[in-house]
Amino acid sequence: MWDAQSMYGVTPQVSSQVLQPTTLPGTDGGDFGSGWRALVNPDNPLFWAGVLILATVGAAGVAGSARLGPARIAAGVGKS
Amino acid sequence: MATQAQSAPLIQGVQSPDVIVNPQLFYAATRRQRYAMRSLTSWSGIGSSDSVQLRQNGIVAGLEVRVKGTLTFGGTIGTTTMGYNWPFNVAKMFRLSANGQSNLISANGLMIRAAEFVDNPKIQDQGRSVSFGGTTGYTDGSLKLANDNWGTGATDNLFPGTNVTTAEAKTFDITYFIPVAAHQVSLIGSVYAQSSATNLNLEIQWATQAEIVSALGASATLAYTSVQYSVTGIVYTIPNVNGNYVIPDLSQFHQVAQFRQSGLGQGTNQILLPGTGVGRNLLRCYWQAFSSSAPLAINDTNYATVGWGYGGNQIPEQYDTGQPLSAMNERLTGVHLGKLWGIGLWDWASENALRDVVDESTTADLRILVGLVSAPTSGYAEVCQETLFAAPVGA
Repeated sequence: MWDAQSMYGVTPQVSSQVLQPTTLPGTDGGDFGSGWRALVNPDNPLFWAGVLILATVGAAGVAGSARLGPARIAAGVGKS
Repeated sequence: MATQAQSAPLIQGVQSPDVIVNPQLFYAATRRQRYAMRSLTSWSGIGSSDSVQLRQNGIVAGLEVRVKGTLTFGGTIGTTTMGYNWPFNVAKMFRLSANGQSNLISANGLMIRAAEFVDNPKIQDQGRSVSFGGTTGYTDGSLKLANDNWGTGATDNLFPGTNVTTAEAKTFDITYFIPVAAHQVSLIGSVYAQSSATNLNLEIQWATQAEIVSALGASATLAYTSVQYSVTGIVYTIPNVNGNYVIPDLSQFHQVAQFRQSGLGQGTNQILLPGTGVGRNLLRCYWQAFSSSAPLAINDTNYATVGWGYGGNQIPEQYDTGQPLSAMNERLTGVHLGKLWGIGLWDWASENALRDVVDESTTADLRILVGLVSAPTSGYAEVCQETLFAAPVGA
């Protein structure tokens, strides 16, 4: 790496030094790569399928807790 | 997969469009350019100064300066002697300010030439016969390039500390490479110039006649004719890759700053390095000691203890005499810096900078030790620090 930290040991002090992945020029832009990065790529249909599943399960969870809430409160009152 | 840092609205304190910091992408896509920042122009005169506004374009890694002209000696030459500022210190001081940082470069022509020899092992000075201090026939240690013209007349030539024998016109032509970047391969230390908000200025302070000529015969005259200078920039374009502007690591500024320490005496002189502090890393330190305005060669005759230290009494590197330092410098740089110009060097960057550079946040009272065997006459030292320090960037 040709950067000041690796060559001279100086400490980067920038807020802009957040490392992010990129694609080198000349590489295939349609390749999703591999590993977890491929799964979170918005261009991957599996990513949107996952979003749909999570949204469905999450909505069910919210509805359940709404129904169960009063029952817990009632149980608490009965014990006291 | 490569990684990158993105969106630095401020680069070296200058507003910029969104860019991506990715050295590898940058190297693959940039174009090196070399063009005149100032075409050959007459200087403003002996003892004066000239200022060059650099173009607001690309990333500036280096500047090439050329100075040429004629010294015309007339009348009866008598005892006329060139000083030791000749020829390199005709440019008595280069001062580069950029993006709010003044004195990124603040060094005389000799130190700039020495820095070039140290940083660039491809150039060498061996086999070029020069006179120095009145002695003829030196073939190494002059820092003379084959392209240098130190002053050529029909009868005799001009040399440092050497008498001029004939009243005649003598042409000279000297070039300098000003290292804006600390490392010309990676471009670390380069200056971001791609903005109308940048302010890049090179000032060249010219020597006075008393500094160029140590003695001028009572009936001799000296005229400076057709003296001209030019400044050429080495600039890298900022490429656009996949819709993004890409730059190399510009998080550091490179500084070459010189100062004079007067009052040198016999024994060990501990010279504190000014301007040290957190966030600064010392790459090299050059120095010369003078007696009667002549540089003291680095050898056992002139030097006792030489070293560098910090804190109470931390002395990481030290020699008991000057000769081993001179030999070490030659091994490290391939040039005999101490022979004629008397340049001593502590170099932490040439072998393995990551391992050796001096982190100034952990070295309070950083200083060099200059031990003189004999008391110098009007002794002083010229000390030059080469430093990397953090450039203002970020949100």
